Amino acid sequence: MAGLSSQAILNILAAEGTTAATKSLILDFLNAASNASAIAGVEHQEGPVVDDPGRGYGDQVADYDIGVVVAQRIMARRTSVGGFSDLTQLHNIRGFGEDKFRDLLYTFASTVYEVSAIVFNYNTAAITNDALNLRKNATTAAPSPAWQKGVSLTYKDSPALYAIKETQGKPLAIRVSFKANGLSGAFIRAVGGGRLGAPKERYISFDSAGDSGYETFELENPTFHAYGVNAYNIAFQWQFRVKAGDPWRGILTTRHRIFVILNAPTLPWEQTVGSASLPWTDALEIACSWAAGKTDRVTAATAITAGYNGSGRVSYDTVMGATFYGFASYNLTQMIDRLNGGPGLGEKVNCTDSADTVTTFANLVGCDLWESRMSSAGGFALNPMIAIGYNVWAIPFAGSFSYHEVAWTGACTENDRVFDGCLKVDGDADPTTPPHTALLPTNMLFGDCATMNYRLRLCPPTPTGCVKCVPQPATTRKRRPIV
Amino acid sequence: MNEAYDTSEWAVETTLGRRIFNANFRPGASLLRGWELVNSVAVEQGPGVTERVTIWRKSGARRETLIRVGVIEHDSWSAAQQGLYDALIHCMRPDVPRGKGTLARTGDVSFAAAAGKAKGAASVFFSRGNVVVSLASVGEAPVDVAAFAKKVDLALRTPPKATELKRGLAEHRSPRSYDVKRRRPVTVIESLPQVMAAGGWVKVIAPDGELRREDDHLVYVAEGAGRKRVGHYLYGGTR
Repeated sequence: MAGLSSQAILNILAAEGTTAATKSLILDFLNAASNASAIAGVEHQEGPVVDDPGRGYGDQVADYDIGVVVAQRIMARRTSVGGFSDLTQLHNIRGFGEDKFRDLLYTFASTVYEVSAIVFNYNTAAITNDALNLRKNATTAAPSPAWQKGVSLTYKDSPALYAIKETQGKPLAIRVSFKANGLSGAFIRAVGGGRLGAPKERYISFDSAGDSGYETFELENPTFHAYGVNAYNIAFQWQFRVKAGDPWRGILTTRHRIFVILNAPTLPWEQTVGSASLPWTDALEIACSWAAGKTDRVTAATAITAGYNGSGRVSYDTVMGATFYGFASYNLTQMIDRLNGGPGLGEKVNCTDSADTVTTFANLVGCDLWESRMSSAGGFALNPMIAIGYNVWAIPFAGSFSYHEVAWTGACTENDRVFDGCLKVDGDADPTTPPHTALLPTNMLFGDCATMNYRLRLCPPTPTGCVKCVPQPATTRKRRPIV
Repeated sequence: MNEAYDTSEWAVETTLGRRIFNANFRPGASLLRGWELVNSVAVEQGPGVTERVTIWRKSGARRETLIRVGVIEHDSWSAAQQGLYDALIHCMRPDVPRGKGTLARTGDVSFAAAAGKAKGAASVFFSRGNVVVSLASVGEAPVDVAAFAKKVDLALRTPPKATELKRGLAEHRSPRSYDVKRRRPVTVIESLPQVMAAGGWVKVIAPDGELRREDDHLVYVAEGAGRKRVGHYLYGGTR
């Protein structure tokens, strides 16, 4: 078959009363197709062009629409004409006769042709039924809406953050806007969605311009609550049908990066709209990776302490033990750069840098830690330890620290627990002498000088050691602001 | 108060630094030849105290070889020494040693330490005039930063070379001399923020007494009365 003549195409368009909007949609579709499959679909499944059930050949349900061979010829024509500007340019394409041309018209004359935008965080004042407020980093806001046609291309372009505790047992929803041509309403749903669940089918109405406005879709059966802290790439395959019982027709697949944390982040993180301390997706990528699968605060903070200590990107400043990532505020931006392979502010860190990192990342996933110090005038003596980034036992600085800082729970007293990402202590019965057993202090009671806890593992039981290693929460307990 | 560091003792030792003031100082490629600038960040180290940190990578090194240079400009030499104290007490090392040998003459007050038993200094902290400088080897491969510290100090404390003035890299601003009364402040720069906003590096060296910032002004308080020649230089770009 030699295809349709230009005049035949014009006659069909006139007979069908094809609108300019429909013609434009067809041209856009054909010009945007990246390859033949984008026109034909993957045989033997129905592609984006559907068979007109009222006319032509086939079983009139799901076959004999445009196939890949004809689609390749359409692509070749597109190349030869430098892109379609008029439907008559589809003349005389072999295999593309009246039946298939009418399929094109049928497909685009009544269709939901666009997912315009998706909002995961539609209530910025609450986090129980939707996503949390977030941003990309200190200087860049998160995309708003989270997904937008023509803007959001990759998973990371469309992030959303959910808190397990606050959303547990609550209905979750997203808001989505669509555009349609030739329809006053349609049933719309999405399949996929992974652990976030799929947007449930509902009937959506369109105004005379074809706009739906934002419509709320409940997410069906979200399962992320059982899997703890995580980061997922998910996709929604959006579909519509005009009548119940019609086959579903595809609109578009949207991709999203979904972060899941235990509960609302604690300071220095905030939920105040516009704050630079909204949860950063750049930090969530790291924190959710370190704490993946952890379902409670203790195991999450433990995993983050271990993740930082074992990152291989930082090592202890054995020269001065100087603070390099900030002692007034914590330069999280530069630490993220460092952890992601950049120079950051260099490889060297000390205990303050480490306490900041553990506390900030742990609190981002919903833990409740503080940065706090232990010290006394003149410092305190030490047991052998393995400093971060090293694998040998040593006692730094000729035997003592002027101070030490860790991530700490509660009131940061001897009755509270520490998470020390900066060093490993000796975990055996006698930390003062070899042999040593490396133990990363996580959820370890700070303790006193009588019982073997963190304090006696860090310092020897001497007048210059344990006794002088005194918690100083009154003056040093804090959560440094992030920059 | 950390008793390991006695700022009153430092003040007694400080002579040259009292009469030197730098603003907008940016250690640049001329001080670190063979090193590539890979990061430049402003780090807040307290209310109104910003450390300009630059990270330099040794070009062509097999192991990551980095130097961190931090510069904090204070309002006066005494504020700078308090800033140096603050930096030292945020070191876990209880007794960071004073600079020895030529490093003892680097800055008004200097502290330096080596990496283990290595020779040289892997970290140097010093103040010169109103500026606190820290240089540290912060990469995998250790670097002796002593020579860089000395170069930075030289840049802070000496007038431009004749060749720099001749080539237009620096200029001598007028007026150059002031009739002063003993211990009566005279304004050398009316608006430091305005001068700094132009982006150049400002260096002022007085013959005696003290230079300090008061509000927006840079003032000179002479030790004795008379006509005093104050060097006021403006450099373009970085060093």
